[in-house]
Amino acid sequence: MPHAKGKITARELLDLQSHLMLESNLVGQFNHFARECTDPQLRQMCESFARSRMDSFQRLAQHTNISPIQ
Amino acid sequence: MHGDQVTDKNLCLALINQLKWDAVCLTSKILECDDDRLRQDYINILNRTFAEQKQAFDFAKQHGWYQPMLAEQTMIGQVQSDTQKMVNEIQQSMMTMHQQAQYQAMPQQQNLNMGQGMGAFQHYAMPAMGHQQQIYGGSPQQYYR
Repeated sequence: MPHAKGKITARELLDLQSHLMLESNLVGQFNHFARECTDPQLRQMCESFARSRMDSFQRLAQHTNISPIQ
Repeated sequence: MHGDQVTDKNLCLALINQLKWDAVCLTSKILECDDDRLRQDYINILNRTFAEQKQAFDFAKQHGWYQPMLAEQTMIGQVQSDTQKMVNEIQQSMMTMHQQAQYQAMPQQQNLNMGQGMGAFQHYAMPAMGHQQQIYGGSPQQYYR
């Protein structure tokens, strides 16, 4: 559930913004790792982690009242 | 494989380090969070991060890419000795606190003993019949007779 407008603290908002950036970077990095690695098991793991980070990003993005990415 | 080519090992270790850093960042955010729902979302993501980091660590360990160094016996002995010192210090500290608590309780006990001469206070402090015996002498039966 997203926050009601104006109910989030300044600290929470700054933290949220920085963590969204971090999760977003992880999605890109893990996808990159999946493309670069040669071991199929490792590739599968990187892809799975990238999806998981994307899910985390969307979950946290709800707290900014932004609709999830399709 | 070329020397400068990115190896699976490097990628896996980078994966582990990124997940470790994510866990650190999530922890600091949880500690600063006021909103319960946001906090719970961070906690859920942190738990997932722990599981993923463990999965990546196990994979690296299986392939011999990540081998934590075992502690030497001398180091273990030193830690055991230091821990024993800390245990002793804690015990000493607890004993001092216990003694202070006993000392603080002593004046109250002294006041109660002094109050035996004052019948009015005596009933509040020590309702037991035995103390009336001390004040008036003899048994209660003798007094009320």
